[in-house]
Amino acid sequence: MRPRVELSQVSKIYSRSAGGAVAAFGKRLLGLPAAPRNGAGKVAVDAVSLALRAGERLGIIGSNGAGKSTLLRMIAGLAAPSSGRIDVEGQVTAIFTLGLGLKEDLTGRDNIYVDGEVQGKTRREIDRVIDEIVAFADIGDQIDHPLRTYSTGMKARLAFASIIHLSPEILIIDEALSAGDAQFSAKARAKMREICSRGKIGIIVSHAMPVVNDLCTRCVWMEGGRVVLDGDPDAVTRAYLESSWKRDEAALLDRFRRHVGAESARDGCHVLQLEAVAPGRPGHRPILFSGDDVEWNVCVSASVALAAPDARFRMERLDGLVVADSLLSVEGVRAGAPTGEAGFRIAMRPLVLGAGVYRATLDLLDRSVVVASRSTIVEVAVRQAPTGGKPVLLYPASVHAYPAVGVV
Amino acid sequence: MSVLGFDRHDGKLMWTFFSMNIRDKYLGSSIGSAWAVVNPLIMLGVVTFVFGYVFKVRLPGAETTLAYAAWLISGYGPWLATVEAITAASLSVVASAGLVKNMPFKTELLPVTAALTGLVPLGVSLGFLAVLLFADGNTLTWHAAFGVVVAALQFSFIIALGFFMSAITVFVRDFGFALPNILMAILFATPIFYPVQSTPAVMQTISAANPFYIIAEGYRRSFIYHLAPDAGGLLYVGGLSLALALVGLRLFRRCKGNFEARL
Repeated sequence: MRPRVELSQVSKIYSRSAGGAVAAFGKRLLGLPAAPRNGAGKVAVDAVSLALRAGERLGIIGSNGAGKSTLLRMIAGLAAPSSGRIDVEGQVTAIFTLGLGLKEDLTGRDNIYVDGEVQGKTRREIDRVIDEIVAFADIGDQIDHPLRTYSTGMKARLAFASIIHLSPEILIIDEALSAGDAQFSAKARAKMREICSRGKIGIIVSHAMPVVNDLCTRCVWMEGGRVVLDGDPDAVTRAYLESSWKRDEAALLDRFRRHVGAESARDGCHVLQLEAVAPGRPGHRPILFSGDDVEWNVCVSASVALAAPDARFRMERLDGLVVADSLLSVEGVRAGAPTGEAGFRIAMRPLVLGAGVYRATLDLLDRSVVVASRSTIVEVAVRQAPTGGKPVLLYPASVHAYPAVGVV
Repeated sequence: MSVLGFDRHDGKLMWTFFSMNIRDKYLGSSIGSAWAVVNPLIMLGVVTFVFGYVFKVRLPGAETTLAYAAWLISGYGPWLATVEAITAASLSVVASAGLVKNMPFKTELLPVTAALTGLVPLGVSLGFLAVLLFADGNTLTWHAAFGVVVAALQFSFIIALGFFMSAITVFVRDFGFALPNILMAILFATPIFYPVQSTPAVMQTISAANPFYIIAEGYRRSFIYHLAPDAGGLLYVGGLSLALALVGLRLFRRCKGNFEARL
């Protein structure tokens, strides 16, 4: 029999109050649908339909509280849906919290047997794979010591190893692939891929997009209990990241909104635009990465002629430290130039600022007097691994080696 | 083959849970599982000492005071097992919250295995009783074998109740606090400490339908009076257990999908 998972219009509503829970319990007894009245509960999963075929590896992503774990619990049969239908063919093996089923006083080896039996295997079936499990968990002699002497990582590895070797038909893993160190995580992913290639179904929930991309053949993005996007992992994770960037950026601009805005000191003079543009990502980007080539798009306008126009670009950290302040001589903004709009770009190739929130200001000057200005906020993030301090500037280092003749 | 939706594999899993329960309960104590035996022994020893030597009660027609102690223990010993089994069964789902929330498996096995932990104090009580009867010169006869039938019915009844209680305790935690008092009330309302003949007629009628009394009487007849237990009474307990188990299982299976939300 080939495993199959099919959900149609599945919803889960948790009642918030104890009274609601008792009411739901009563309805259960009477065989009525347990869905509370409108607004009486929290909708964790909202009318989700999904069909999985043998060999598929599904990744579920989304922010906290999106309903991912609830959905998994329903597929695993731990929770009953408030409404809708779930058809699961094949035995479900699930890891929700790694190691919770483990018994502290038993040795690792005993725990493998207990775990296996709870998962529906016979002792003989476990005998057949126990050596493989012990080798995979890779915890050495510890396997014959009580579990309470294990580190958290060792427990996680043991739990993962014992479950994944019991030839699961439908394997559900909630946030557990990150167990153990990088090496173990890679081994776990390889094993998972192998299982699914044998025609089994794998479903994982993860916040690590590279893991989802690397492992899954399909990806579902959930938000507020609903499926936002379902399809190719690469496309779905990209869309999800883009959306969370946008939310972060909106939050950043909102938090520092008093630093964002434009002023005009002389009638008809305006700075129309001050936008940071990062490579490959069109539009204003309030979150920039140090080391990237960044450009500022600027547009100024004057409906009156300026006698000695000039532009000044300034960046200061929010604690008041001025990190850049320069007068720009801009083509097209010249004395006596015809009135109208002028656009120009300020290039920062690369952006060398250290991590922090900065205010960027562009002033339009006439005879050194500010006639208009516009400010905005950018946050600079750093990709480079932290080295312990917090450098203000990050110059891209280039090293040129030459023979050290006669130095010593 | 499966009975009430349980198959052979579930039987093995039940054994795993059972041995784990016994081990877990006394985990961290230096003599470990031995407490499962020592605890009821102490209780029974106290009862024997008090009613055999200190407070000399004599059953009508009996010559020794030890006879009363034996008579008392034949009812009270199995009752201790009932209390342990019912309490463990009703808390079984809540106590295994970690498993219930994280592993897909037949949760209805939990009240069953938890109830079965009562077999340990039952065995200890009956063993103690056998020794006491021997000391009193009233050695067991082959009728004692009926004790197995009585025990089977006793635990069927407890397991049937366990399905209800374990499910209810998840949603109404108060039940766990009320339970000891309810059990205490049942103990005193059941002719276990006193003979049924010394109760008013109306109580005798009620006792005839009280499964706990029928069970106590079943042990007494097979161990002390060397008689076969009352077949009608046992059939009644068996029928009642089956009916309760069917309804209880149905209820349990219907609401187990909501357990994880309340644990």
